[in-house]
Formats: sequence, structure tokens, C-alpha cells
Amino acid sequence: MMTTIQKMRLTIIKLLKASLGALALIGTLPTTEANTKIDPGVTERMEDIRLRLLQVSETANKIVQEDNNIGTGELIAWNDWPNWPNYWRNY
Amino acid sequence: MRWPFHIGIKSDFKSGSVGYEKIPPDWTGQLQLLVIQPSPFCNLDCDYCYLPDRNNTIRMELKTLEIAAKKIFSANLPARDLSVVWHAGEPLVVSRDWYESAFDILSENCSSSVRITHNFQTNGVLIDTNWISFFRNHDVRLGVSLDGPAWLHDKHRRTRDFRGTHARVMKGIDKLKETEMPFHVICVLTRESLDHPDEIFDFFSNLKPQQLCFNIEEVEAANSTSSLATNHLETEKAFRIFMTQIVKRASLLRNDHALLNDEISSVKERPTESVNRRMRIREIDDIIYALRHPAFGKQKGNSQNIPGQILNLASDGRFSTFSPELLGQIAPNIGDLSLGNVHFDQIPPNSQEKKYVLQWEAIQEGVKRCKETCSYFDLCLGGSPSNKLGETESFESTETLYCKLTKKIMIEVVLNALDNELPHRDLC
Repeated sequence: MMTTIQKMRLTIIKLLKASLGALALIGTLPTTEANTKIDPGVTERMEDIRLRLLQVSETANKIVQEDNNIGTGELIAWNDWPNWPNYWRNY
Repeated sequence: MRWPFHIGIKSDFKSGSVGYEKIPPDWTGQLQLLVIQPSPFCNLDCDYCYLPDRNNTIRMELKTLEIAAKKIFSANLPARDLSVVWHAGEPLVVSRDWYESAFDILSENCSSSVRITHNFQTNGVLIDTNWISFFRNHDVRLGVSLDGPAWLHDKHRRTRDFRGTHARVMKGIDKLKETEMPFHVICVLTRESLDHPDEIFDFFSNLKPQQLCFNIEEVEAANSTSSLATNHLETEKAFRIFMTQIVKRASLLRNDHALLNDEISSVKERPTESVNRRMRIREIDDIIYALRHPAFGKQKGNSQNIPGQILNLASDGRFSTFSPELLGQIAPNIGDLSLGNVHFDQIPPNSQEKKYVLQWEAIQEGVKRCKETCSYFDLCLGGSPSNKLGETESFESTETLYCKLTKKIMIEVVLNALDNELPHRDLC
């Protein structure tokens, strides 16, 4: 026969086991979070491309503006699209 | 060089790191996109449509619009440029007389410092010369939904008796072209579309819209499944191949701006025609624009996840902010995402309003997690709450199918093209 204290100890142990099991199960469940981390290589490459893009745009603008204003409006328009950005076009 | 400051890339965002603001931001002067649902009804029954109430033929009472307009403008919510989009149902099923009155209501209540632009996104089957005159008279920007060649379009964009609509849409587009009415196209990509990039590109090249916008078949609101949501790895691969081919065909750099000599010579030769010399693809334009923007890397979020930048008004007067698709949706632990009804409630809602705060906190947490985990945050700015909710049942999640395809893979494809085509630094 188990004493009351022994019964209580057993109950506590069962509860602890159940809790640990639940925690372990939670750890294995799939989550909605993507297993992604920021990749410094991507950031660096993006910045490099961004600077190259800016360099070309600025040089093109400067040359065209200095060249009898031919095409100035077109290039500036590219930089200042009235429709930008097009979030509304999703709807 | 002039730089624009528009939706989602404003320079005057509230300071502070994403996720640490204590109270929702002030809406004053922030509203840039007002989506109004004249009627939830649509004359088509496309199988991927996210609108839950498209059999409902009610029409917004003009009184409802008037009350909304008074509240919106008296609170000085609009930014300098306000885009009004008439959508969330087929806008052309409502009469032109109704729109004449509706436009008057908005302009009568609008302050002189705000410039309103009206936009219609239509399925195109009701376009006729009367509508085109109306569009022209009101300087309406027009978008037509069209999924490419008939055999592809008619598989999904059908009437309630399952008939394809391509021929009817093309009749409308023919009228637009006859009258030289500019339009853009939204093309929804299903899994089958991804196997036909050249056919789709050729189709739209002949059509010559001002801009071609690719949406994907999304899991959100009333559309709980997607042909793109099965076999993710295979779908991602197919999407990457599709978009790589589209980018290649669009000749994004050679014809537009980046290769300096081409740019200068083409501008000199055709100074007036050059603006329209290639079909613009929204997905390419967006990325290049963001990269060139001086605020790149400093933004905290986009217009879908910052409150007050988009306001969505349902035909019965309910309103919401954040993604338009959220209006009328239910979220776990939050409930109905409407923030009230213009007939009874104030716009903006009280910043202590529980339902509003719960939405804002959850969405902000999701944006914060995106910023902490995604290399592409600066080009996406925290994703779309409606897609997060639709795919994961939570605003606090990060990656969705929508962002994996239309953001991450799309960005990689465009970056690859730019990397190949742009001169290296200090060489141009």
C-alpha cells in the first residue's frame, strides 16, 4: 500500500513527465516561421548592385542634361514616376 | 537628380525601430490609398477570387460615401497625393451616374492641397465607348485583369455558368486600343502559367499595356487553396525559371536606363518615343526603383503594414486599414478586422481601441520578425498582412508562399540580371 506522501510524489512525477513530454512535442512541431537568417553575402551583393545602378543613372542623367537638354525630361521622368509605387495595382 | 517620395517609401516615417513603438502612429497626412467598394458584386466568378461576397448586389449609398469623405478629409488624413481605387467587386457594374455623384462628393470634401487620382481595376468585359469617355473625362487610370492567351485565361476567369471570358475582355481591350486609352494589366499566375513564359510574354507584347503586373494565385481571404501551394520546391523552381525568362525578354536594362551608351544614344535618336519603347513589368520596376531610392535601407514598413496609409471602405460603411483584402476577415484572437462603420465610428479609430491595437501589435511583431530574419527586408519591408493571415492564420509570421515567390525569388532574379548587365563600379 502506498502512503499519501508516496501517492503525491507519484502524481508530481507523472505531471512533470507529462509537462516535459509536452515541451518536447512542442519543440518538434512544425512552425510557420521560416528557418531563415540574414545572409551578409546577400546584403553586400545588394549594396554593390545598388551603387552600380546609382552610378549609371547619375552619369546618364548628367551627360544627357549637358547635351542640349535632349531627353532630360525622359530620364527625369524615369526617376519620378507619377504612378510609383504600384501597390494600388494589386487591387 | 530628383527623387520621389511616395507610398511606402516616405522619408518622414516615425523614428524608432520596428516593433518597439508603444502606440500606433498618427494617421494625419498619411493616407495614400483609399480603396472603395461601390458594390461587392462581380459579374464573373473566377475560381481563385479572394472576395467573399461577390454574389451580393448591394450598392454603396452615396450618403455613406459622403459621411466617410467628411470624416476622412476633416481629419486631414490624406497625403498630398491620394489614389482612390474603385474595386473590391467589379466596379463597372455600378452606373456612371453613381460615379459622377461619387466623384463630386470626394472633390467637394477634399481640401485644395490634396490631389486625387481615380483608379479602376476591372475584369474588362463591360468596357465600352461610354465608359472610355467617362475614364477620359475624369482622367481615370485603368487596370484590366487578363491572364494571357485564351486557353489559359478561360480556365479560371469564367462566368457563373462556367463560360470563359477572354473573348469579351479582348473586345473591351480592342476598344481601349482603338481610342488610345492607356491601361495596365494584372495577370494572375497559376501553376500552369509558369510553364509558358514565352507564350505569355508574346501575348502581352502584342497587347502593349502600359505596364504588366504579375500577381500570383494567392491563398488569402475567400480563396483558401492555390495551385502554387503544392509541391513547394518544384513550384519555386518553376517560378524562378518563368521569371528569369520574363526578365530576359523584357530587356530591362538594355532598353531602359542602365547601359549608359545605349541610354544616351537611344534618347538622342528618339527623344519622344523612348518613354514607351518597352513594356514595363511591375515586378522589375519595383525592385529597381526601390534600389535607387535614397531612403533605401531606412524604411520601417510598407503601406500594407503601417496603419493609416491605406483605408478600405466597404459598401456598407465598414472600414479597415492595412491590406485591403483584410476588410471583413476574421483573425484568431482578434476577431473581425473591420475597425468600425463610418455611420457610427470615428476615422481614425481611437488609438486605445482594443481591436485596432491588437491588429497593429500583431502586424508590427510580424514586420519585426521579418526584419530580423530576412535578407530581403529592405526591398519588401515586412510583407503583406493579408497573405500572412491567409497562409499561417497569424500576422506574426514571416515567410509566406506569396513572399517566397513574388519577393525573394523575384528579387534574386532581378539582382542576377542587374549583376550581369551593370558595369562594375567606377567603370562606367
